[in-house]
Amino acid sequence: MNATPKQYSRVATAMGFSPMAKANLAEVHRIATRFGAEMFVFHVGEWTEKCQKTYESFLSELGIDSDTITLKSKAGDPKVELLSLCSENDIDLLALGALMRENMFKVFSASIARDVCRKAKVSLLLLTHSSIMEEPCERIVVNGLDHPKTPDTIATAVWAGNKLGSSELIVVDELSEKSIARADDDMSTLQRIRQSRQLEKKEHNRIESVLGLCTGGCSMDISEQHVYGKKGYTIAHYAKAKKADLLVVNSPDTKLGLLDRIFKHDLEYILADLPTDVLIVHTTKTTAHA
Amino acid sequence: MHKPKNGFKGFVENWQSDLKAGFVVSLVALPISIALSLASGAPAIAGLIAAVIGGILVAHLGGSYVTITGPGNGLAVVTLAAITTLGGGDMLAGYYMALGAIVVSGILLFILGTVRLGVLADLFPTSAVQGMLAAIGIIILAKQSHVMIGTLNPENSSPIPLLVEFFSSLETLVWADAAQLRSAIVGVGSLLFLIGFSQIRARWMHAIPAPLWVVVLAVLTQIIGTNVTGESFFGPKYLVNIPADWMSAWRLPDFSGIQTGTFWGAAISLTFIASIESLLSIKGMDRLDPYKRKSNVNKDLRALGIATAVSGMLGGLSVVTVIARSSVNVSNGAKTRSANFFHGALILIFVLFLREVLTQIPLPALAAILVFTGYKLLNPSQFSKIAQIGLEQLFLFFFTLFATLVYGLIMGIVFGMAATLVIQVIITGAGAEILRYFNRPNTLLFEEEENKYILNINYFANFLNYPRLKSKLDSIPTSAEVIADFSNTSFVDATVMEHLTGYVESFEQHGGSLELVGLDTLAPASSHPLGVQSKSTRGSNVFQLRTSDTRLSGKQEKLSNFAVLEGLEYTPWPDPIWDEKVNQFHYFRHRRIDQTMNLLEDRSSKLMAIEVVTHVGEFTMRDSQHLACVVLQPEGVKLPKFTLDRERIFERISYLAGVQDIELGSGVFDKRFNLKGRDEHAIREFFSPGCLAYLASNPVFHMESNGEALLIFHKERAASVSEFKLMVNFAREFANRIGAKS
Repeated sequence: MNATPKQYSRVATAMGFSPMAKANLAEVHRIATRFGAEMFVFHVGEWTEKCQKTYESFLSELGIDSDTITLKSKAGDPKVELLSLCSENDIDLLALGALMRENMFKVFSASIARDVCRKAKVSLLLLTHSSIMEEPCERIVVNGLDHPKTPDTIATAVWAGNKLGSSELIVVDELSEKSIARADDDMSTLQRIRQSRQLEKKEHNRIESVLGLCTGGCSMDISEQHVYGKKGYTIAHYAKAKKADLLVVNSPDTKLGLLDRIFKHDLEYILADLPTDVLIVHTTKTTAHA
Repeated sequence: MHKPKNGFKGFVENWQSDLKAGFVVSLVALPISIALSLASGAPAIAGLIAAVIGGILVAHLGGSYVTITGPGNGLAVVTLAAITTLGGGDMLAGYYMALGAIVVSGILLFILGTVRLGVLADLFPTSAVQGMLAAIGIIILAKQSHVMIGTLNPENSSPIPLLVEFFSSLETLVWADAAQLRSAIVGVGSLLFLIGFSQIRARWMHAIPAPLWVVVLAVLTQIIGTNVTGESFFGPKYLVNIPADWMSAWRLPDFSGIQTGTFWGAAISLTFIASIESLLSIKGMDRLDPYKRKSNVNKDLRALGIATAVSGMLGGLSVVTVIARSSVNVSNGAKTRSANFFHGALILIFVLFLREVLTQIPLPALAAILVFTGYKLLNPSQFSKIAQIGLEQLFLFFFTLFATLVYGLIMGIVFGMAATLVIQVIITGAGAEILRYFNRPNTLLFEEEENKYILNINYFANFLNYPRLKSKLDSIPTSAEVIADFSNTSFVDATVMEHLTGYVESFEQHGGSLELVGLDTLAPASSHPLGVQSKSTRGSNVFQLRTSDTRLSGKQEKLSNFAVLEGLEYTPWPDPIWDEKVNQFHYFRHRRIDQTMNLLEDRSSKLMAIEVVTHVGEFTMRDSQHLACVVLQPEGVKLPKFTLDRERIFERISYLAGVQDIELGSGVFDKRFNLKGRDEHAIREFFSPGCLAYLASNPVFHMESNGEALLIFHKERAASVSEFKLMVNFAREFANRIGAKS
C-alpha cells in the first residue's frame, strides 16, 4: 500500500455569468494561487464582446492579473465540451460553483456542475461558499473508508490542507450499521457497544497505518471519528454538523446514472445536498476497483 | 435495584410473586376473555383459548417482561368484521374461516418480527392512532350496549346505525318478557357498578377486580334466582354457552377462502391491528416496568405470531399484548414472564374444572364489562388534552375516529395519516421538502466523547421519518448522555415530540440524559410542549425575530428557572441591541448575526450569557450556526487582547495570523490550550497561576479578549441547559479569579 497525494498543478474553472460568477472566480484564483497551480478559465458557448467586457471588469475589480489566467472558449454542449477542454489542457482539478441543494423540479435535468461530476475524469472541487473576501479553510473532513482509493484521498487532503493553511483534519470512518449487533433490548445494546468498541479499535489501527503513509510534514491536528450509518450520507451530515470547511471524498467507482439518483447511495447523497465545499479526488490507481 | 434473573433461575427466584400476580390477572382475564369472544362473534371458548395459549407460549418465547397476552379489544372488532364478511351471514361457518385468517395472520406477525418491522407501529401519527383506538371503543360500545339491555341481535351491523338503533332496542323493553327484563336490569346494574367501583371506599371490595365482581354477582343472581323461581332465571339464551364436549368438537380451521381477497383482507387487518395493539401495549408497559427493562419488541412479535397461529389452529382468537391486564399484573407485583404463564395456566384450570359455573354467566353482565371497556377506550377526558397540544390534533383525532367508524379500521388509519400529512403541509408550508426528503436518511449519531453522544437531525422530523430517528435513539445505551440537536430541521411534529418526551423520561430513569436543543428557533404552533414546532409558521422568513408573547420552549423554561435561582435576569428574545455586544468580537467577523436569544444577564458583575444564531454565505448558500457564549466585562482589570482555545477555532482571526503560541510554563495548561496575542508581556501578567490552575482543571472553554470584554464559549453549537449552567458558572468563577488578582 502506498499513498500519493494528488498535487494539483493545473486548475480550471468554468465561467458562467451567474450571480456567483465573480465570487467563484475569486475563490478559484485564490485556491490556484495557494496550490501554486496554473489557472484556466473555460467558457462553453459564444465568447461575445459583452462576455469579454464583463470578464475583464471582474478581473480588474478583483485585482487579478489577466496574464496569470489562460482563457479557453468553445461552442457546443456544455457538459461534453467542458470535459473535452479538461482533457485537451491536461487539467487535474476542475473547480465549479454548485448549488447547495439540487432543485427538486430539476431532478432529471441537473445543473451542469452536477452532471459533470458524474462523468469527470479529473478531480472535482464543488464550491458552495464562494466569496470575494477570503475565508479561511480551517476544518477538513476526509473519508477513511476501507477502500484502495482512500490512502490517496487522505494524502491529497493533507496536501491541500497544508497548502490552504488548514488547522484540523478529521478522518471520518463510515461504518455500516449492519457490521454490529442491533440494539433490540438491554442485552443486545450492551453487545452492540462491545462490538462497536472492538470494531473501532480495528478500524483505528487501519486508519493509523494509512495515516502513517501520508502525514509526513503535516501541520494539522488529526483526529478520527467513527460513525455508523449510510455510506455517503453520514459523512455529508457529519461535515455539516461539524461546520467543516472542506469535505474530501473518494471518486465513485462507477459512473453514476439516472438510477443512482433515484435510489441514492454513496456520493449521490453528498451531491444531492452539498454540506460544504466538496473535493472529489480522482485516483487512477489500478487497484481502484475493490 | 436488583433486576430479576431471566429464564429458569428467574422462575425459581420469583415464582411466588409471579404466581400471585398471575392469579389476580387470571381472575380479570377470565371474564374479559369470555366477553371479548362475545364481542368477536365467536364461541365463548375462543377467547379463553387465546388467553391460555398466549399466556403459556409467549411467556416462553416472548421478549418482554411483565406483559400479559390474550384476546384484545381492537382485535375483537376486526374479528367480528372478519367473521361476518367471511361467513356471509352464517356466523359458525364464518368463525371457522376467520380461524383460517387468524392462523395466516399469526404467520404474518411472525414474519414481521423476523424482518424486524416492529418499528412500523411507530410510523403512525399519534392523533390518528388515538382516534382509531377511540373508534374501536365506540364500535364495541355500539354493539354491546344492545346486548346489555337484552337485545342479542340488533338489526344493523355498522357502528353509527347501531348507535341510533339503541333507542329502538330500549323501546323493546316495554313489551319484553321476564328473562329480557331481568337481563336488562343485570346489564345496566353491572354497568353502574363498574362506573361506581372506583368510588367505593371499602378496601376489601378492591381485593377482587371489578369485572370479576360483576361476574360473581351476576352468577350468584342466576343461581339463586333459578333456585327461587324453579326455572333458569335468565333463560339459556342469555347465558354463556360452553358445550361440555368443547374439546371433542374441535375441528380444523377452514382455509377454503385463502384464494379470495376478503380472506387476505381479514388476515392483513388482523395482523395490522394485532401488531399496533401489541406494540403500543409493550411500549406502555416498558414505562411501567418497575425494573426498567427494555423489551425486545421483535422477539415479542415473533412469539405473538406463533401463539396466534397455534391459538387459531385450536379454535382461539388472535393473541395480542394487552395493556389493561398487564398493568394489573405489574400492580400485583409481577417480576418476570412467569406471571403471564401462570395466568394462562390458571385459566386453563378454570375452564377444565369450572365449566359449569362459567355457563351460568349472564351475557348482559359481560356486555356491560365491554361497554365500560369501550367507554374507557373512547376516554372523552382525553379530548381536552389533545386540544391543548393543538386544535389541529383534535381535528385529526376526530377525523380518524369518524373515518374509522365509516370505512373500517384500515382505511380509517390510512385516512388519518393522509390528513395528518395534509395538515402538516398546510401549517409548515414544507410540502416540497417533505416530498423530497421523507425517504432519505436524516439522522447522524456519533460519540463525541466516551458515553457522550450527539444526535443531529437534518431537514425535518415527523411521523414519516420517525423510524430512522427511533432506530438511532434505540442504539444508544440509556445510561449515556445524549444531545439531540434539531437546529438543522425546519419543523418537528407532535408525534415525534410525543415519542421524544418518552425517550427523555426513559433516559432519566436509567441515569442518562437526553436533551433536546435547537428547538428554540422553531415556533410552536400551539402553547403545548408537544405541538408541531415549525420555523415557517411565522411566515417565509426563517430568521424573523420572535415576539415576546410566544411561548417558551422546554429549554427556555429551564433556563428561566436557572436564572431565578442564580439571581440572573432572563430574556428569551432580547432586543437586537445585544447583537452589537456580541459583534464586537473578531470571532463573529466572518459570520452575520441573524438572531440572539436566551439572554442571561448579571448586571452586578457585568456578565451576560447569550445564544447567537449566525450564518455565513449568501441566499441559497447560507449556512446557519448556533453558538452559546458568555460575554464578560471584568471591572478594574486590564484586559490584554488575546485568544485562548484548543480546537484552533480562532485561527480564522486574521489579525493574529503568524503569531506564535505563548507558552506560559505550566505543563498542563500549555498542552491543552493555544494562547495567542501580540502583547505577550501583558498576557503573561494577566494569567496568574491561580487563573491557570482553574483553567487547567476545567473543561476546555474558548476565549477571546478584544481588550474590553471577554467572549467565552464551550462548543461551536447550540448548548443544552446543563452546558449553559456549566458555562455561566465557569465564567463567574473565572471573573472572580482575575478580579482577585488585581
